This record gives sequence, C-alpha cells and structure tokens, in this order.
Amino acid sequence: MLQLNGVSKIYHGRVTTTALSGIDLAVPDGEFLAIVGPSGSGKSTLMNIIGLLDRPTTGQYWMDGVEVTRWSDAHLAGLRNRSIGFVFQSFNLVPTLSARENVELPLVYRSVAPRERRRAAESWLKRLGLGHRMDYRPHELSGGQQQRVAVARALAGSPKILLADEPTGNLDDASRRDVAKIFEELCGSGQTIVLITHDGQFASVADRRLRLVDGILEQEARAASHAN
Amino acid sequence: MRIDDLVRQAWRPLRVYKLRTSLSLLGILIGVAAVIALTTLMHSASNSVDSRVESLGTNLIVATMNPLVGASNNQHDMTLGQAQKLGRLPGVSDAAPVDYETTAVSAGSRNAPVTLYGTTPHLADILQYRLAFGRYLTAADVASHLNVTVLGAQTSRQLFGRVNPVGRQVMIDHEPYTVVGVFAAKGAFLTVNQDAIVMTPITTYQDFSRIASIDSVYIQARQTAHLSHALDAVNRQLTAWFGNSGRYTLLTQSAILSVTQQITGLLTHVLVGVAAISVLVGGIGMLNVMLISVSERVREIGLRKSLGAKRRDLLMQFLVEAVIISLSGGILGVGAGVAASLALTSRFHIGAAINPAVPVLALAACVVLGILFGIYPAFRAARMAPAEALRCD
Repeated sequence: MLQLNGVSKIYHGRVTTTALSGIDLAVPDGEFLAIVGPSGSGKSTLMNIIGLLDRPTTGQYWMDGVEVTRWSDAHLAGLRNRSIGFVFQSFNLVPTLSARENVELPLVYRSVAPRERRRAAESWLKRLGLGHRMDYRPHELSGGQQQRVAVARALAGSPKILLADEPTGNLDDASRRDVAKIFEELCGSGQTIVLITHDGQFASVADRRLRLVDGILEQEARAASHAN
Repeated sequence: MRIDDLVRQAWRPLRVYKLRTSLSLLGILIGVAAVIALTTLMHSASNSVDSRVESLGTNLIVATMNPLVGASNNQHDMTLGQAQKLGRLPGVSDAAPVDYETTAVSAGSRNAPVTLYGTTPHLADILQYRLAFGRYLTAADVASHLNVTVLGAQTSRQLFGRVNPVGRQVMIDHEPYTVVGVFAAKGAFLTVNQDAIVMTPITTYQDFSRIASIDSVYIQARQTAHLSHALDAVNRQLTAWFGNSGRYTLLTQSAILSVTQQITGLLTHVLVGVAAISVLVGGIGMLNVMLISVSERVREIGLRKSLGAKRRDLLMQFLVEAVIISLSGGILGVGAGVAASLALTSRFHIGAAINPAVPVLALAACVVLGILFGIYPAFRAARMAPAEALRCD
C-alpha cells in the first residue's frame, strides 16, 4: 500500500514553480492505476516522488504504513531497490551491458549471488519472449524489444510497485499493443502498477484513472464510461 | 554490492570503449616506462662508474699542478726527479708522472686519434692495464729516452687490424716509435675511451714536446688504510717544494668517487623528477577522460540510482574504473620500462641494474594516482540527484 498525503513540490529556480500541490493518493496492493495528463502537468515530478527519486517539498510519503519521507538517501536507495520497478519512456538500458545483465542489475545492487540472479533474469526474459536475445546489447535490439528488456528488469527484483512513465511513448503501434498486453497480464497476476501516460487508450486498460492538471490530481471525468 | 560485481561493473565500460581506455592509460604507461627506464639507466650507469673508479683502487692519489695564475709567489714547476721522489715517500708504494696530449698516430696510410701519455712503467700498473702482446715500458726505456711505445687495444686494431704489431714502427707527431707492447681492451669509461691511447717514456715525451715540467703524478698508497698517512706525506712534500700557494691540487680516489656519486645522484633526481611529471600529466589525462566518461553517462548513473545503487556503489564503481586504468597503464609501463632499460643499458655497454623496488613502487604509485585522480569524477557521479540525472539527455 502506497500513500501520499498532501504532497507538494515547489522548485525554487529563477522563478518559483509549483509542480505539484496537495496530492493525496492511495494505491492499494494489486491495483493498476493510470495517471494521465498533458505534458507540463507535473507527471514526471509525481513519478519521481512516487519512485522515491525526489523528495516532496511538503507532505508525507507512506509505504506499507511506514513514513519514509525523511529517510536518508542510502535507505531510500535500498527501499527503491526492493519496492519499485521503473519502466521509462526512453528504455534507459545500460548500453555496455547485455539484455540479461541489464535485467540482473537490480539484483546486483541487492548482492544476490550471480547464479541465482542469472536464473531470475533468464526466466523473466523468456516470459517476455526474449529468450533468444539474452546476450544482445541494447543497440542490437528493436525499440519494442528494448522496452520488454526494461520491463523484465523492472520486474526481476519482484518490486511492490511497477512504476511506468510513458512506456509506450517511443514505440510503434505493434510494440505499443504488445507492452499494453504485458501490463494487462501483469495486473491480472496481482502486480501493483502505477502507469503515467497521455495515451488514453493504454490508460483505459487500468483499474482506475486519475488526471493530473497543473499539479493537481483529479478524478478522470469520463473514467466510468471507459472502464469495462 | 558484491566486490566481484563492483569490479565487473567497472570493467565492462573499459572493455567496450577500448579506444578511450587505451588513450587514457597511454599517458600513464609512458610516464611509468620513463621513470623505470631512467632510474634503471642512471642506477646502472652510476654502478658502472663506481665499479670502474673503484677498480682503480681506493688507494690512488692524483697530484695535479695547477696552471700559473697571475703573480703567484712561487713560479716553480714540478720536475721528473721530484715526481719520482714522491714515489719514495713513507706510505707510498708507487708514483707515475703523467703528461698527456691528444694527437694522432699513424702506421703506413692508417691513422688513429689517441691520447698520448708520457709516463713511466708504473702507470700501466696503477691504472690496471693488462698486456695483450709484448711488454710494458721499462725503467731502461725511460732512462735511455727510447722511442718505444705501448698501444691501446683499439689503436692497435685501427692501425694494424688483427696483426700483432710488436716490433713494427708507428709515427707519433712526425717521430718514429717502435711498438713494444699492446694493452688488452679495457672498455669505455662512460664516454672516455680507454683503449685509444699510446704510452711512451716520459723522457722521450719531454724531449719532443720541449716541456720539462710534469703535469700530474699518479700516486699509489701502500695500503688503503694508510691513505691519509700517505696523503699527508705527499702534501707536506709538495708544500715544501711549492709553498702553500695553490700551485697543486690533491685528489683521492674516494673524493673522485664521492663527486661522481653526487653528480649521478643529482642527475637521477632531475631525470626521475621529469619522468614523474610525465606520470602526473598522464594522471591528469586520465582525470579528463574520467570526467568525460562521467558526463557522458549521467543517464546511466541516474538509472543505476533508480535501481537502488547507493552513493557508495557509484563512487566505488568509478573509482575502481580509474584504478583499473591507472594500474593497467602501470603494469604495461613497467613492462615497457624494463624492456627499454635492457635495450639502453646494452646499447651503452653497462650492466643493467634493475632495482626490484622501483616497479613495485611504480605500481603502488599508480594505484594512489588512480584513486587521487579518480576520486573527483567518482564523487561527481555519486552525488548526482537521481531525478535530474535521469532527465538529462
């Protein structure tokens, strides 16, 4: 269970920008939540805060009933490693590592023994249909394949929450359908997912949709009519 | 994070970006190779100088007459009789008067540049020349002002090839001399060729050069332990003859040795300093490459943080990368330096004396260098804010 209470984020640059204000959000285990919104609405900031990559200016972050807002960087890194699996729009695979080594990375930072994490990585890659591409480096893979490697990496650490930021943004239609189908399946198997996107069609497969407008979270107006 | 993983993560980019890696370790390689080659070369050269100087015996005293300066109160020169008298002082076993000049000697149409020594039989002994053919100069040669000469090994080879020249004639300064002996080769003393020489009786030399004075005397003390005793005796005698007016200089073998050691020591410091600067420059080159590498991999750093890498993990990853670069540069540099040392010492005909501490110290210095120049880029990588790093293009 992930919970944000009154979270706001204010950037003090040359001009003071309020990226998020008064966000209250609870994501129960097993839910597939989609947050949609136009660019500049604060989606990335929200993703960074949910992903423990950035700290809110005000408000609290609760993870399974524990307030983690003021944890040290090192503790947050550990929590990220155990609890959050990221999927980014631009894949963010390490170019010098093979597909399998990329998938192993979260387990490397968890000090899992090589043989064990290799088995985990291979099983996830096979599950995502990349059993024949495990030793390929990212530049040898198509966009859709790279994003599937990224999904495998996000899931290899068995995270509490799969946090995806525009995962289909850089993909062609076929790959986009592919990734959407994977997310649906994951949701079916009980994985908690937070999806941030402006792809309404993709968002429609989620259990619940919220709209982020100018840093304020609101119920998706036509959520009911989309769901089925 | 496990240590083997740390090394694996640090090693991978070095293997993938081969050109960048090899360029950044090249500077360190060259610096380390230079340090090793120069220290070895200087060490070998100074060993060689020391052993040559020592082989002359630590009981040698050289008395040299100084040129007359201005209105000196004592205008006397040393005579042959005085020089020979020095050899009979208490504590002294031998003394050889030496006058020399550089000239040319010829036999038929062949010519050879030489240092011509006018001296007595003792000099060959004092300077430890051995005979290859014939005989040394004798007291009778000196007494009778004979035109006889003993040739150095190289001079003999240049004039007569492989033929034994004993009994043949050579021309020195337009005067005919009979060859009575040939010295065995002695080798170069640094740049001073000890085999391009001829020795003639001092009396003959004086007859032709019309110089009656003695330039210097090589004196051998009876025992090394009594060197200061002999030195005192020589000094007293010379003072009695020439006064205390700076007309002569006394040098002992150990004084020469300490001077040469000072010079080689100074040279070693200067050269190693220069080489160390090149290692430093190599290190700065590596720092530069590491900084570029960090700024090229900002997104990767952000990503690793998002996957749970702690500051320490990233600090160590980049630090290990830097140490791998500097240490590989060091290892290759040691190899190149040892190879260069062997090549150079054999080129200069001196025994290679590689001090095993030097490569070990060089490698230790490389590790320190890697940490020193790697810490800043690594620190920059480690302290990046993950959200900003991920946003970077």
